[in-house]
Amino acid sequence: MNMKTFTLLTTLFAISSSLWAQNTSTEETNSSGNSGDTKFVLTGYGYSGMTIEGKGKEQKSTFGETGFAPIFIWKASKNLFFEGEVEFILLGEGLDIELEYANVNLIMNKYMTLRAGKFLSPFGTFQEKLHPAWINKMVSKPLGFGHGAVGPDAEIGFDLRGGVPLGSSKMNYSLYVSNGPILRTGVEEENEAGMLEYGNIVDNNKNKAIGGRIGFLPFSNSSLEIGVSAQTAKGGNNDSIFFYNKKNNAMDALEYNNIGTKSYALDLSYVKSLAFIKGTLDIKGQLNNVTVDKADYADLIDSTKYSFKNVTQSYYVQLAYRPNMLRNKFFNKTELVGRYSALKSPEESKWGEEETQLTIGLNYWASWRSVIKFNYQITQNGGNESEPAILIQFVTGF
Amino acid sequence: MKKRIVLSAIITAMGMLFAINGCVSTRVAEKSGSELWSDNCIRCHNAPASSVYSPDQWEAVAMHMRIRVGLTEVETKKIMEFLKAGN
Ligand code: HEC
Repeated sequence: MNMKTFTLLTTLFAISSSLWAQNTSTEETNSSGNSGDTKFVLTGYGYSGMTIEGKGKEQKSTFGETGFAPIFIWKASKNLFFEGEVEFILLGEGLDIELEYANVNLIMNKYMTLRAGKFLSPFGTFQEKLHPAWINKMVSKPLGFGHGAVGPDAEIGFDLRGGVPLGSSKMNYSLYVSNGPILRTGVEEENEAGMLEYGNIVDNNKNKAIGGRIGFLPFSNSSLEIGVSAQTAKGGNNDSIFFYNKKNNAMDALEYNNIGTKSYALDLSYVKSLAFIKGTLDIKGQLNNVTVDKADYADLIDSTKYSFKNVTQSYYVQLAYRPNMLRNKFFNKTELVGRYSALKSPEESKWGEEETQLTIGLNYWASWRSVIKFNYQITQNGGNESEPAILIQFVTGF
Repeated sequence: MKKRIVLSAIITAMGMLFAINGCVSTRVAEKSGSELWSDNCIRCHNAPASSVYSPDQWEAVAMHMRIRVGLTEVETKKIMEFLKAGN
């Protein structure tokens, strides 16, 4: 840990402990009868589906990804809270078990909550607020927002966050310090040199990632939220990589200790029930941009080194309409959704690609968090022919 | 060219949003629990009815949502009271 992060962390602790002390002492004098009681809820969701991919003779279909995610939430006292989620997913070769998050939260005062542990990354809104299958209106995640996402999906560290009223507007913020990304140097997976790996349990260096998001809701009906996020971190460590460089006919060393990463995201959400369209309009979007400093990587097959401009970008826009004000009990549970997403990773890297995707969906909401989704999706990868798919998913929250 | 179209579409959309919402300027803190519930709880998922949980469970869920969403303390209290009272 460097001096800057250490100072930041200690200041944070000093402020938080003093604020908490003040807060608890005032609360003790006016606490209501049942404060301190533990309130526990076991919640979560499960899903399964089917995928039909390709055209004509090439068409394949499979009963798809199936998952079960129990979530444990505890309100331990007036200002202490815990959330934990384990996700079991059947995909590809087998069962994948993941601790999605586990964190302790301390509400220090009206405007500040401090949490520690593993948490969904506050960077942008998709990972933290929109990705669960019963919330995501599509079967798939937008390009660059699924596994191997552009930008962080989870953090292990500390996060200070809260909501602040501003008269007829309001804002919310999050400021975190975490292990941050690890730069893949191509030693293990040669084709992934220059990629970033997120949600790291053990950091590879003493530098910590610092990131945050500010959300602003200008209208008193909270219909619109605009958010800006940023994160800065070092991705490499002090280990040098030695390889035989044909050009010099000698061993060459590659260093990554100063390779920094800078990311930013913009997000937007507009949701409003509108009488004149007899339903709810929901617009969402996010843009992620990740820049990694230029570095040399070894091409072990050619025995040369190469480098590239390492910028990855992805975005999505989604529009949904649910005529929930209609009297008809069938149609008021249906929802129409359209989404466009795009991903562009560095052309000269070994993992570079340019993809776009259009998804049209029809949902039927059996309850507030049980849904059947029907999607038609067309993915275009570079100059290749477009790949159509039909995706069906059943989800239920509990 | 493409960027300019996207940009002007965003600006037009923003203009329309301000036109639709321009007339609402009540202070958020003056709103009732039910109003705050219908404004806020539809923003990410369908809004749950009060019958979904018991009053005790709503306390835990309200705290969860306060932290996750960045709701203000006043909003959270009012929404929680509204949901608990429905039981
Ligand atoms: C900014 C997005 C967002 C808003 C606004 C929001 N929620 Fe949620 N809500 C979520 C997410 C995300 C989850 C799922 C948590 C998870 O799976 O990690 C969730 C889960 C829930 C659950 C399931 C139980 C739980 O605690 O996980 C309930 C109940 C709920 N929300 C109620 C509400 C209510 C009531 C409101 C209005 C105050 C609200 N939500 C507003 C994002 C939101």
